[in-house]
Amino acid sequence: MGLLCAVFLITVIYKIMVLGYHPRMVIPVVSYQVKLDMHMEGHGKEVNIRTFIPPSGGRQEITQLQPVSGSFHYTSEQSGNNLGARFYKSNAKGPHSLSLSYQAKNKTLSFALPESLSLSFESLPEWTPYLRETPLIQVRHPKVLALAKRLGISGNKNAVTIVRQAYLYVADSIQNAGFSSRTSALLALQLGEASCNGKSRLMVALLRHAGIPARLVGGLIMESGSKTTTHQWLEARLGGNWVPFCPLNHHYAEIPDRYLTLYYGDEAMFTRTANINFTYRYEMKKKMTARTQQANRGGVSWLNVLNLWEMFRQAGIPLDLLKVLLMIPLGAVVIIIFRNVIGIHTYGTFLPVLIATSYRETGLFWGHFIFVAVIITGFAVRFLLERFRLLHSPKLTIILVSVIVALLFITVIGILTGNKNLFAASMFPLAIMAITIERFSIVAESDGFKKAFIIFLWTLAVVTFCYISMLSVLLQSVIMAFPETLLLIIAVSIYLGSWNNLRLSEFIRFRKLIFETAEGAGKR
Amino acid sequence: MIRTPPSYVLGINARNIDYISVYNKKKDFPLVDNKLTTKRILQKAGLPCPKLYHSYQWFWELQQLPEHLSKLCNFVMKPARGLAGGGILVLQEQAPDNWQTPSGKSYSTKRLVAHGSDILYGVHSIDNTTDTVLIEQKLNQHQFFNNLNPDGISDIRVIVLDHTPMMAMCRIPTEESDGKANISLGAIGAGINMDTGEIIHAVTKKGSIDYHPDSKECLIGRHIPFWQEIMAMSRRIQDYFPLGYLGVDIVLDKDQGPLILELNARPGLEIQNANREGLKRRIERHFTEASLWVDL
Repeated sequence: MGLLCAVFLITVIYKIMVLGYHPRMVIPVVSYQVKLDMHMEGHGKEVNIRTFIPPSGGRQEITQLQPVSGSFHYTSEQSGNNLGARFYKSNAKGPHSLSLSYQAKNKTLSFALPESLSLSFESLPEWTPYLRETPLIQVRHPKVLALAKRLGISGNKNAVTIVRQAYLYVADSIQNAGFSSRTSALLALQLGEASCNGKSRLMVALLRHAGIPARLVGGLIMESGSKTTTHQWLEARLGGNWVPFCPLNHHYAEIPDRYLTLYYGDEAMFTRTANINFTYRYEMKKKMTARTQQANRGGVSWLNVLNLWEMFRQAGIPLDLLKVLLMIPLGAVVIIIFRNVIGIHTYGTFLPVLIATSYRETGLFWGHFIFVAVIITGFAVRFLLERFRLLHSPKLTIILVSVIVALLFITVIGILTGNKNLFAASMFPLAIMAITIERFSIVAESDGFKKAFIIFLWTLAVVTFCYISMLSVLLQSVIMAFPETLLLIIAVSIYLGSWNNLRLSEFIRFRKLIFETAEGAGKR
Repeated sequence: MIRTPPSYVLGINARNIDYISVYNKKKDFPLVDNKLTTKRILQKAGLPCPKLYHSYQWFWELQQLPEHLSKLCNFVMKPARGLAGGGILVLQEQAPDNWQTPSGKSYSTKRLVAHGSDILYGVHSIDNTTDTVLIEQKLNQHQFFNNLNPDGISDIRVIVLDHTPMMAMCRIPTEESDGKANISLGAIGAGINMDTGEIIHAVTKKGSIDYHPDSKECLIGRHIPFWQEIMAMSRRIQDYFPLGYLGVDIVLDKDQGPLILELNARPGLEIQNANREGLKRRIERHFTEASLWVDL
């Protein structure tokens, strides 16, 4: 046991010291499942709806792009820097629902600006669009000029000073306002208050005035839940990079990972046919996943397990599945603790681990729902079978069939009601569920239904604990980076395997024996 | 307040690690898990046990059952490898082809053949594999237990470690336990003084009691009859069974006295509550006394 712990410690230390594993590797990756739901009502005429698909690359990784266009024609098209999504139908009549969903894994982007950066007038024609005046960005309006002069922007040669002055003014002197209408740079200045788009336009106007190429960025602040509010911030061309600023939420030369870029420039989020009763909503769900890949200086050392995961990835073995497999021993340890230390009985020794594994797709609540529904169905079938007095295996086979039918039924219900959590019902371990039903029935027969039911409740409780520990992204990350944790699991198992103390539940069972009660003391 | 240090109490972990796995070899378990094997060894050793009338291992043998039953007026039908008392029928002939259980259920011979085939199928067996049907003598319970509870068979459980009886209790059925001597179903567990055979303490799953809840007979202070014979039998058992840690279940017959009903290689721990004493302390005390003798 000591040896196992020693090997564990040595490999962990080796990996950190020599292979350059970093504690950051165990911090899970945050990603968001974003779904844009759109509804409209057509009047039999042509309907056109255009919005944006977030660009992938750089700080932003977009995967699993999936439009649901129904009878509409869907195309995606590149226009300038942006990727448009277009839904089109020549004779749309009545209500229609469209959606566009994707997974976004974003990184925080942050620049450390130097003290000074000489203002190099970008004379190349490719920068002209980012310096020009537009109806909403009034670069040459006298009021903007006056402000630029007052802030010391006009004539200043240090780009960093210009940017800081413009940012501080827009961020601090212009009040944040809740209104969501389009506000021009001038209006923001005149009102002294603006929302994200007005503030960003004003800052863009000031920068362009000083000769720094700048552009608006449109997007979404991702957070779990649903919302219709989109967001705008800006980017300035400094030292060969597009440096982001958000004067509304006070991000200077940085944007957090929750910011999803959808388009560049002063665009509208939706361009569409009028009078179609258009509504939209962004649904977002935060997801945490364990890290599986990490560039590091471990290189080809055979101890560098990351090479192994890379090999699996190249062979097409899904690492998500592998992660869950590696967590099974941890779940088993949870069970050992429940059985041998706490003294709780469950159906089947490792059944709760397997059940918890299949909750991966359904989540805890719907997982329990499916499990309970199937056990009830199976128990009812088992009860009806009783009168036929069948042999064990044929009886189990019939229960198995009922389990399969129940799981398929649940899957169908899931599809019909659009409850995605129920889709994975067919992933549940069939044979094990059938055996559980049989055990439940035997206990119900020999020790009463109440006892059988209590054991079932305990099973659900242990499944919950297994689920929590096995799907903990932190623990998953640890085990992916340090699979030698399995050695620790063996060590713990050896220790608990020869642990001969009273179980917690036995203190209750033998309480009259162990503890002096007032009643017992008076009696004898 | 601590009455007994927890270290004196034998828990499941310690029972399995320190006793069962040390004293009982896996390969010897079938000797006690199969009641037919147990009975054959007991008979060979001359240890008293309920008389076996017939056993059936194959379906075709069951055809003889009606003929065999016609010569009996009462009997017990049970699986050789039953699980927690499942599948046991105690029957008394009421009229031709009408057998009745103590609780009043009627069975025709045809139904008994069906029950026999259930047992052979393994419906009641520990591991759901095929089993053997035993037809054995129905006990005529001794007056001592009949006075306490006439509607069911009480038994005496003795824990024997390496030829030494360590702790004993008797299990007395109640109305709640439906005539079964099973404490978890509501039967009484009564702890016994090992030297004198006197009942010293009694419990049900609800707590300590002094009187039988149905017959209102006082339990405490009663002396189990044939106690010295029971102890002598318990000491001899391990001369014939290679299992060093055993639960011996004994019943008292009016005419034959104590009979060994079955043996258990994984005896339960409720006996400690019945005696209000930890088994581990008993065992440790025994070993220190034994080593004192060696020193002398």
